[in-house]
Parts: sequence; structure tokens; C-alpha cells
Amino acid sequence: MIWDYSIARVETGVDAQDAAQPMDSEAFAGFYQRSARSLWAYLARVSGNPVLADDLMQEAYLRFLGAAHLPDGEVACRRYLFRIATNLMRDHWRRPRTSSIDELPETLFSVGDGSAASDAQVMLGPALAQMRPRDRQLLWLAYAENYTHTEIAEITGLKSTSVRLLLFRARRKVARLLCNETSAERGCA
Amino acid sequence: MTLGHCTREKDVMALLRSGGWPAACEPELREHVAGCSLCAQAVLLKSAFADALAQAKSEARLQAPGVVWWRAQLRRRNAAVKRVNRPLAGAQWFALLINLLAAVALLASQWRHMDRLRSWFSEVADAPVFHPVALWSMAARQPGWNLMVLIPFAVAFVILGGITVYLASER
Ligand SMILES: [Zn+2]
Repeated sequence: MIWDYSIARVETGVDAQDAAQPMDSEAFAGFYQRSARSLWAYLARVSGNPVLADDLMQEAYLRFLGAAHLPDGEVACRRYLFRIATNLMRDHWRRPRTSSIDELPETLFSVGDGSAASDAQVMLGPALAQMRPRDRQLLWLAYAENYTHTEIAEITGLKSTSVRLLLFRARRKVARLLCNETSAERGCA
Repeated sequence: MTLGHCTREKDVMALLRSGGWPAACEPELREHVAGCSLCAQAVLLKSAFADALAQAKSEARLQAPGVVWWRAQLRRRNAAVKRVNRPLAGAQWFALLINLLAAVALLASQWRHMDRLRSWFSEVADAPVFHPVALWSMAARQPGWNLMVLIPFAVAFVILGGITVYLASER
């Protein structure tokens, strides 16, 4: 039947595509091992939902591997991966049926058992829960992932000047929240 | 709005990123941080987020990279199959459209001969034995020979339509 013939041709085509894939399975395994925990941490702490983070992380890697071209170098690939994840989170929040992240309970943002955590870290969860999702994203990318304003602009699709302004406000707000909730004196002036 | 900015913040952030804070920090810079609210804020946030990152990383439950790789290959394959099927589906719809147009054109052209068609049908119904040759001769007796055009067209339309519907449903 004509269908079987077509599918056979498709599979031949796919095999050819595999050969030309921008990253082979071995390189991907290494990249995954080095980036997955950071990506999950970003998704889980910004969304406040570990289950959602699992789903979005898998989807982010599938889209990453489905890309026709990947940027050169691991640093650029990692940034590209974070960009995909950021877009997925944004799409998730835009979907009308899902509950807004602002409605999530504060407990979702709290850290594990807290036994080995610093005061500021213990209070960071509740402080982040009071921030807007975009502010959480910007703060995480800047202070947990150490991205520069230009890199954050590339990841979030915002202008570099907007990132600077938004980050400044977000930083002031989260610092104020942390200072209200902890006994930290440094940085609370 | 002017953004608060400190020229030493870059040095402080560099130390924080490299893990050199506070051990590898020059006393002079440490003194600056103690007196600068912006740099002290950077230290507070950086250490809070670094701890949160370490904690979150330890909570992550990762799939094996091979599983993710395999799923990605499956998705690529499905996308390729869809890409090939798209023009075939288009061709089927095109064939269906041509069939319908031909049927409409044929009906329109034969509309004025409907009376003769009706009389032919009644003649067929009254015939004692159903036989294709008798059917043909009955049609040939009709003036204008239009039925000899109509019947093969109708049969061709039914066959082509059947094939199109079969192919479309097979998808
Ligand atoms: Zn300073």
C-alpha cells in the first residue's frame, strides 16, 4: 500500500536526520547530567510546584533536542535551555484553566527540612511567594544562576534595560521581605 | 527613576560567584561592604539564593538521560510522519472536491432531462426481468442519448467517491 511506502521513506528520512542531529546521545547525556539539577531548581523554585517542574523540565529537554540547530558551546546551550523553560513557564501561566502561580500556598515555596539552611534561605521561600512570577524568575537567574543582565534579557525575551530596572525593584523588595522576616542585619539598611 | 548603583558591587559579586566571599575578600572591600547598603544587600541575596539553589538541586528527581533522548527521537519520528502525511491528506481532499464538482456539473447538465429519466426508471421498474442489456437498449431508445452519458458518469463517481472515502478513513 502507498501508505507503507510513504512511512518507509519517512523513516529513512528520519535516520538521515538523526545523523545530522546537532547533539549526539552521548554528548546529550553529559549535558543533561550537568544542567538538569539547575534547571529543575529554577523551575521548582520559580513555579513553587515540584510536580509541574518535573513536567516542564522534560518538555524543555524534548524541545531542546527537537531544535534544528543548537547554539555553539555548552554555556550557550544551557542559556538556550533556560530560555525554553522560561517560555514554557510563561505559557503555563497564560493558560486560562490553570491556577495562577500567585494563588499557590506559601508552603510550596518553603525549603526542605531547613535543618542545614541559613536564616535567609529559610525565609527566602515565603519571601519569594510574595513576589510576582517574573520577579522570581529574574532574581533566580541573577542570584542563583549568576546570569548577567544581557543574558537574562536573552533568556526572558525582555530588553536589557528593562531587566536592569525590574531586577533593581525586585531585589529591593525581596531584600525588604527577607529583612522583615529574619534577624539579618547585613543588607537591611 | 535612578537605579542605586555602587562601583564596588561588581567586585563583591565576582567574589560571591567564585565562592571567595568572605575568606578571600580584601579587608578594604569587606569594610566597604559593611558600610554600603547596596553591596550588603547583594551579599545577603547571593548567599540566600546560593543556599536555596543547593537545597533545590538536592531535591531534584531526575530521569535517566537515555529515557529523555529516546522520547525526543520518538517525537522527531512522529513529526516527520505527520509532515509526509500532510500533502497526502491534501491530495485526498482535492480528489473529493473534484468528484463533488463533477457530480454537480453532471446533475446541472442533466437537469432538463429529468422527466425522461423518470420515465426510464418507471420503464425499468415495470420490466419483468432485470437484465443489463435490456436496460441499455431501453436507455438507447430514449431520445438524445443523455442517459448513456449519465449512467457511466454516475458509476464512475460512485467508484471514485468510494475510493476517496476509503483512503480518508484509513488515516
Ligand atoms: Zn557598595
